[in-house]
Amino acid sequence: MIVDEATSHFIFIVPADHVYLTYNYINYKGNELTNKEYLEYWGKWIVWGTREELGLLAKKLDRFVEQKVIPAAKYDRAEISEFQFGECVMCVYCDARQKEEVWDILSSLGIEDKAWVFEKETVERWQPGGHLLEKWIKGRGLDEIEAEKVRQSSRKKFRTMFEDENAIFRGINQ
Amino acid sequence: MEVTIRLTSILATRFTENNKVIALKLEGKYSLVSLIDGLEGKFPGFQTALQGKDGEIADGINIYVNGENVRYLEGLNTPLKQGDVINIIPAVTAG
Repeated sequence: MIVDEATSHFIFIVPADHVYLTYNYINYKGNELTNKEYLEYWGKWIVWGTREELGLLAKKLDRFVEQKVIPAAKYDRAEISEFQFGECVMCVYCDARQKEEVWDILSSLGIEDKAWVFEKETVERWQPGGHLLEKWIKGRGLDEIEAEKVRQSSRKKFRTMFEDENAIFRGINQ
Repeated sequence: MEVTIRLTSILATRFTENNKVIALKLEGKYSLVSLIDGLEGKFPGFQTALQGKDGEIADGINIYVNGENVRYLEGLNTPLKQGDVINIIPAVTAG
């Protein structure tokens, strides 16, 4: 199911069951991941292109997501100007233990650039001193006081989120 | 030995005259170090974008060999073999 809400930067492809809160796509073979497992195994294949190209790919992926052979995906509604990347990005999520099966699907749909990113890397890069957070702060032109507020907020958010490593992972607000 | 390097648009625009796919013949040791040396030989200035001041892979760059991030392999010493595909992308794509 493609969830396209104008208020969100991202357009999501998630199982309809997930939208209606009866299913958590962050699982491996039906077992929800704990915070510890999430940081160890969860990740994504990265695909980049124009919004139109990613929109076409999203339509092709939707049936695989509904069949639950691909857990979920999301892509940029527009380029993130702060990052100066020049293209939109799609993240196709899955557990690392099933990533080659998911890659085979992407490859069959014509994707050639193969780049896997663990969520742990992303979490680290959005923490104070991390490349993504600092680049975002710089791109926004924040003064040092505002920048420090953003860093403290990030620090608190991730500490709260992962403090119980055995709790079921409940997602990151986006 | 020949490998294929695939770049995102922004890196190709800045460093390789818009060549997004580059076939590179390697000589000597077949590792990521020799690949970066080869790229620098063809496209001067590229090496400084790929390696930080400490000589390691720059924090803002991810390099993949056949889809695996070399940070989880052997970093700059990751061995390469005939036919490998190397993707070089800015780390901002990992957000």
